[in-house]
Parts: sequence; structure tokens; C-alpha cells
Amino acid sequence: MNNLEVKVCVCSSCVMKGAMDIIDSIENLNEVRDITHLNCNIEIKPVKCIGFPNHGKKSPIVQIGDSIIENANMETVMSHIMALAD
Amino acid sequence: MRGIYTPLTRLRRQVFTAIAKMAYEDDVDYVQRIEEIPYEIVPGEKAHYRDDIFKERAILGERLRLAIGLSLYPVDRPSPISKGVKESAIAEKVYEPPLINVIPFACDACEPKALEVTSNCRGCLAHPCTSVCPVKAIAIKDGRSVIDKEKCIKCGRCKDTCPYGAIIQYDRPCAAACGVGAIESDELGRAKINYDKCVSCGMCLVSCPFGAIADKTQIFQLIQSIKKGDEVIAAVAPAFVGQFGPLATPDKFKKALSELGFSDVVEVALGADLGAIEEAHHYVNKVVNGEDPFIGTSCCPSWSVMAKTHFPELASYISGELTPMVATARIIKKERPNSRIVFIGPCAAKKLEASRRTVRSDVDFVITFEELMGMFVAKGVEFGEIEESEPIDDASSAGRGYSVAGGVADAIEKTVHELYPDVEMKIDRAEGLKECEKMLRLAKAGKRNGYLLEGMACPGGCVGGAGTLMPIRKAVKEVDKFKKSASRQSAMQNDYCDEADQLK
Repeated sequence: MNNLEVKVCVCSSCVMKGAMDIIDSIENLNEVRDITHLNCNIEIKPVKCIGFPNHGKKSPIVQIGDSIIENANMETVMSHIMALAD
Repeated sequence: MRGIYTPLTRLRRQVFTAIAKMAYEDDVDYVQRIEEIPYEIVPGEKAHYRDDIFKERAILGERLRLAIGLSLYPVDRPSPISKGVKESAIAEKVYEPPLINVIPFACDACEPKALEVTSNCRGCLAHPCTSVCPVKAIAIKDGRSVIDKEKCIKCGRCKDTCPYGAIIQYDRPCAAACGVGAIESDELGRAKINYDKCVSCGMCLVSCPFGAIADKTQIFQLIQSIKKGDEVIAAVAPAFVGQFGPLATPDKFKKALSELGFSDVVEVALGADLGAIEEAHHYVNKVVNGEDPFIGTSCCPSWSVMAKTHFPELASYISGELTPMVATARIIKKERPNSRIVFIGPCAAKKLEASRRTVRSDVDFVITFEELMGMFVAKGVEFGEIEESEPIDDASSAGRGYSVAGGVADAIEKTVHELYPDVEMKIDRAEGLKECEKMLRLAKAGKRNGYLLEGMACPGGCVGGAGTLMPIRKAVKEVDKFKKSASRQSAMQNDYCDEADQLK
């Protein structure tokens, strides 16, 4: 099974704007792998900063593989991951 | 919604950040600034969340006022958002009851309790829904079930019997979250809080899907006090660990708070240790010998106020020991009498507890983790950039467990075993005010004699409080880790054990 690395920025601004809830939703995605036919293992890495510091207006920032999602939320992150699964 | 980050969570936190930022700025015209903020949070000409951008900004105006500690402004009279703001820029708490407020025009006036037939109804031939209705409120019209709301008594039998699950029953979300039945309706059908019943747990404000309920904050005045140069000391509730993200390890917390202007940080788990010891003695000396039928824990203010007001005949059995917050504040003030104490916790009700006559001089400000996060962001404090580590080591593993449901009883039980190895304890506990009430009803009926009763108003305990940021299961893990890292395991090893009596 492939590994899919998802980096989630956990700077103050990203945490305030729900970074940990995004991490929670990705973890949940791992748990429902049987139903979603997601054929990769998602590895979540909370990181100090993605991009430049003080990116408050773009928080939360999430990096999935090579693509960076700004103003991420559970919805956009999960749909991005699910699109990779297809 | 508690536990899920939604656009409303975002708005609430943006307000805290904006107020903190404004407070930290020097030479700012607060009156002008506060009128500008709604245009920054809700920019442009098109509505973002609701049907109308003007309404969005008006609601934000109310939230800003509450965040400053001011009351809502009247809708039916000319009154600018900025009214009273300048006068509130003082280094003292500004608080006028009530703490928890419904912003009336933000409320969607959803029905208090209703049964609805959904589109899943197929108008089946059997239509058992009509057969089971005791008041003939449901009938088949145009091939579908229709409920006559005038007649419906909301018994829910139609819902239970429908083979397609086509009938749903819902409670108004704020009322469903309220464990004491304090949510009523005003003349326009909007939610209204009955303050005789409300115990300020804050569950309604994190449960309203329209973001119509908010509590008052003290961040504006706290920052004024910091700017004035007061010796401001943070007393942090045991639930703080993990709340600010994985980079915010406890050993970085002191430095982060010093960047905000705090002079020092003390764990409230310290006061929890003392409380556990006192309540252990109390249990053995009063309950075991039958003098009192049971003892209810004292630490959760919503639980203890609910118990005392809803069950006045049981009031004297709810422990009168100092709460961890007050004990900790008194220990700090004894050593540093000129300091100002800020309780930082997950809890809305502590704001009220700190305003009580007997506690007012001990605790100067109360803010929540969510509000503190707003301060971190406003000041640009990054845990990832903090190199130094300064361990926090005020309390034992027992006191640190107070933040999770079951942890208070655990701490007391451990202490009882240490002090009175022969005593067998009986323990019951409840989380969520509805469950707490059920437990008290059993106690009232004499079915909990000889018990220690742990009451926690928030489901999950303090880590599930209205002012938290972290998903509960993550928070519980972090608390556990922090407990294990404590240099002392037993409450009895706390340095201040012998001082408990002098604090009262």
C-alpha cells in the first residue's frame, strides 16, 4: 500500500483556524478506509510552518504530496485526498 | 458546533483576535477602531454567511461588544457599537450580568421541538404513523403523511413506527445542549435564556448552528492591565495541555505567556491537589461515618450551582472546599500580594465564579483557552519559534487529572487509599448537566448514600468545555501524557499540602 504524506501546518494561526480539526478528520479517513476504498495509508505530519511565516490570511495551510492547499478546511482536504484515491 | 470547526468557530475566534490586537496597539482610538473591525472581518459588498452583509456586520458588532465585556446594544434605539468602549479600556474587569447572551436578531427562531415528515415519506399503504398517533395529528394528504402541528403533542410515536425513517424529531440545538432547561422563547419565537435556571456552562453557545449565542470576555481589560505594567500571573487550568497544538508543549508555555506580558505561570492542578486531599478527609470523616449521606465534588462551578439551586435540600452535601481555581489564586496572592491573577481555562462558568463576592479579590480575570489563542495570534506568538524550555512542575499527577471526566473522583480515591487504607469507597459520577441531574435525583431518593459524587457539567469533563480548541480525544491523550510526566504522583506530595487550612 502506498504512503500518502499530508503535512499540516500547526503554527498559532493555523491551529486557531482549525488545523487540529483537519488532522482529526484525516485520521478519521484512515479509519473508514474499507468503505472509501482509499488504497493508501495517510501519514499525517504536523509541521512548524508551510510556506512563509505569518501567513495568517492563508491559514490553515495543508500540503498533500506536492500540492499546497491554502485556507484549507476538512472539506477541501478530504476531497483532495479522495481524488487521489480514484 | 462543539468538536467540529465550522465557519462560526472561525468568526468567534476572529473576534477574540481582533479585540486582543486592538487592545495591544498603542495610541489607538478605540471608538473608531471598533467601528472598522466588522468591515475587516466581513469585507466587500456581498453576504458571506447569511442573506445580508449588513446583518452579518451588525451581529459582529454585538460579538465585539460582548468580547469587550459590554452588554448588547438595543436594536430598537439608535446606539453605536462603540458606546461604552472607551470607558471599558481600564485595567479592571468590566462585567455586568448576564454572562451568556442570545443575540436576538442572529437567532433563526427555530421551533423549540418539532416532528417533521421528510421527503423520505412514500405515502405507503400501511401508513402506521396514522394508526399510532394518540391525538389524530397525522393524516395522509396527497399521498404523503402530514402532521398537524396544532394537534401534535410531540410524543414521537409516528417517528418510531415509520418503516422508512421518514419522520424526524429534533430539539432546538441550544435547548438540546442545555442540561438545565434554561432555554425559552421570546415573543418572536427566538431563544431566550431564563437566567434563574442558567448555570453558564456555555454549552448552548458552542451548539447554536446560527452562532446566535455568545459570552462576555475579559481579554480587553486583561491586556490593559498587562500594558499598565501590573504583575500579571496566569493560573492555568489542568486542561491546558495540548490545547494550542502539537508545538505548544507545556515546557514552552511559560515563555509563550511571557511574550504576551504575563509575569509567571502556575498550574491550577496545584489547587486541585489540595482540593483532593480536603475532599478525601471530608469523605472519610463525614460520609463514611454516616453524618452526611454523600459528598458532591466542588470543582465544577456549573455542576455545583445546578446542584445547589435545583436541589436546595442537598446543597449542604456539595463540598464547600475551595475550588482549585480559588485555592491556587490564594496561594499565589499570599506570596505575591500585589499580583493580579488570571485564570485561564476551558470554562465559561468560571467567569461567573470569579465574580462572586467571596472570590472577587482572589481572581482578577478569567479567560478561556480560545480567547488566549486569540491573544497568541494577535501578538504573533509562535510556539514553533520558542527554543527555551522551562518545565512546569507545580502539581502532582492526581491534580492534573481533574480536567478529564472521572479524574476528580480518581484523584480523591487515590488520596483516600493513601490516607485511610482501610476505607472502601463508593463512587458515582456524571458528565453533562442532564446526567448530573439524574444522579442527584438518585441521591435525593437515598440511593447514593455513602458515595462520592463527581459532577462535570461538560460532556467529557473540562477538556470538553465551551472555551476549548482541541478535539476531545486528542486533548485527553495529552492530559494523560502530562500526568505521567509529573514529578509527583500523589496529591500528598504537593509542596503546599500543609497550607490548605490557612487559605480559607
